[in-house]
Amino acid sequence: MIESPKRNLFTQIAIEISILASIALVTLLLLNIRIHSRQIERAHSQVIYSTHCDKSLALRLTNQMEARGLFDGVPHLVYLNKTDGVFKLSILVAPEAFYSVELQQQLADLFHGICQSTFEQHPVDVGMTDEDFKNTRLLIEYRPDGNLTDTE
Amino acid sequence: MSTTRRPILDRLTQPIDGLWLALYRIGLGSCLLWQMWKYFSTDLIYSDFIEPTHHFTWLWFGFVKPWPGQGMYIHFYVLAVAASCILLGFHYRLAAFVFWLGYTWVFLIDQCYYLNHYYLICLLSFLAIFLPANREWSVDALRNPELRRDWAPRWPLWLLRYQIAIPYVFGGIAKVNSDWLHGEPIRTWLAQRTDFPVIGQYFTAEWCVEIFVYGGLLLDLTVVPLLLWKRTRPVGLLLAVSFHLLNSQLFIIGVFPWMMIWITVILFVSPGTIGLLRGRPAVLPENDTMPQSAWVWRHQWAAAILVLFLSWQTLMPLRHHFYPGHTAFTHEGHQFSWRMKLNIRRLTTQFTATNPVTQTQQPLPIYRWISYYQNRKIQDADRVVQLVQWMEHDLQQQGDPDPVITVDAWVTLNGRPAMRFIDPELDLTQIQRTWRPTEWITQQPVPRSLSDLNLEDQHD
Repeated sequence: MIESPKRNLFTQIAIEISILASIALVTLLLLNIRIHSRQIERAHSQVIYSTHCDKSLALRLTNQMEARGLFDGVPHLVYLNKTDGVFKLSILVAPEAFYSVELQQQLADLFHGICQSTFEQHPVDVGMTDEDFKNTRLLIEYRPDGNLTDTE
Repeated sequence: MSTTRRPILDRLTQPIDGLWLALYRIGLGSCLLWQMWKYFSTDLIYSDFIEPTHHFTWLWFGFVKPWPGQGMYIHFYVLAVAASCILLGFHYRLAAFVFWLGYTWVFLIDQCYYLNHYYLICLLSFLAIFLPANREWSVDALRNPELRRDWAPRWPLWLLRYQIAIPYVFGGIAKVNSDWLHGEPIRTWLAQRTDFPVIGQYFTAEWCVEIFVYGGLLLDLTVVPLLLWKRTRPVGLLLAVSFHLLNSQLFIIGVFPWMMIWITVILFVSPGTIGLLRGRPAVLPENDTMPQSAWVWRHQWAAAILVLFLSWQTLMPLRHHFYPGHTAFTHEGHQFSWRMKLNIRRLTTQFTATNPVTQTQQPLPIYRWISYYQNRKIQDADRVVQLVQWMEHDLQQQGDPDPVITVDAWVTLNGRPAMRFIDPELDLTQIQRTWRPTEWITQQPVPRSLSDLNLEDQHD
């Protein structure tokens, strides 16, 4: 059977679109599957990074948070940094996670308590909780010099 | 005519086994797809491109902006499909072009998201457009028998080798500096990873730091010659693969080490050896050079574009020599130069607006304009100027027509005490963006090495 050139063109286009659609579908499935597994992974993980050599502070903080059930079952990441002599505790909470002033205060007290027993008694600055963080981040700073002026 | 005496053009067009090119395409496509998956899985698309209200554009590329609404998700999805098409070799060149254009767009949206391996992805996806990488093991070759062939000209191999050599060589040259030779920032980074399996316990020992310092330096400087010379190639491959494996475990650098392992192996193992994977002898053309008459205008244009591209690649990393001051301090000429893993650097800023009439002052909390991550990545004068322009605009909207904005800006660098970065009296609203050297950065002498520090002098 001799096909008309027009039909051939349509057939050709249909084949091209079918292959592209198949690739696009598989890619979409791949991305979605990974997103789902990543969400599960994040929900059960708690990561502590310390840019300070002494890991004891980070470890004690993790243990205390677990003991108090803070963020239990809620996806979150915890970072502990020391920059220019200032300890910064950053907790990244997934947008869907529950977040409250009480929780913030609990964390501040916990961090303060650990810092207090580790170092000298100095104030803890609970800050950076304005709308820019859109309830997804909390940043608590421990300032050994006692100065609460925000340097950010 | 003997092979060694051939003119360069004949050598570059000489057919060689082409299976390496198909494997290169598959590896590159896989890495690009992985990179796109990373954007989705960590939802960087939202936090990097949708959530921030302002973006630090690149000079001359202010028109590059994120798409509104959910557009960026669609953009990344298109990129992921293009990466899949590269991997499978389906409309390969078109897919490579779409990926390069789309990814470069993403790359140019915000300076804060610059990473050397993102830049490398832009470069490799650009070069991919020119490569005949779909002649084997591809959907294109499967559907079009005329396209199929076992060979490729030699030039893609040398083009890619040159591109990959550039980060190694310039990365090595950049490491020849006082801080690196004094062990920073490697010492600090290693001390953070004492939990590393087996060898982590030694990371705080000075001998271990020195192994990393001199080992990294020598590897960057010698790996290319080692890989190019047949006799030392196995050693070069072993060193390169070990180096990238260690990097993948020590640092959070995503797909980069894996991509480099794949590319290094594919480019420096002999094409004939890789061709053995085909399971049959390669069919090479009888005439082993491309006749001059076969050079059509598009070949000439492509060659010209590639020569310009490689010249630019060679010269860009040298431009920091034309900026005054210490590059690590000023950050001018630092990017696009393969100056990798050299600094632990932080610029801390406190902006203040002053009403020139009433002389009232108000602090300007920068999180009104930028995200936490963007703040961490404010590194240079250009970003400070852009931020001030947004602040000035908003203050003018609030009824202050001519605010004076100053900044208390300090840089910490590889453990040095903070150094003042900008004159605190300078009205930044009067500054314009420029590619020229920034004269208003504090040109104080940066201590040449950590051992030169005089703490009392550096503190206010």
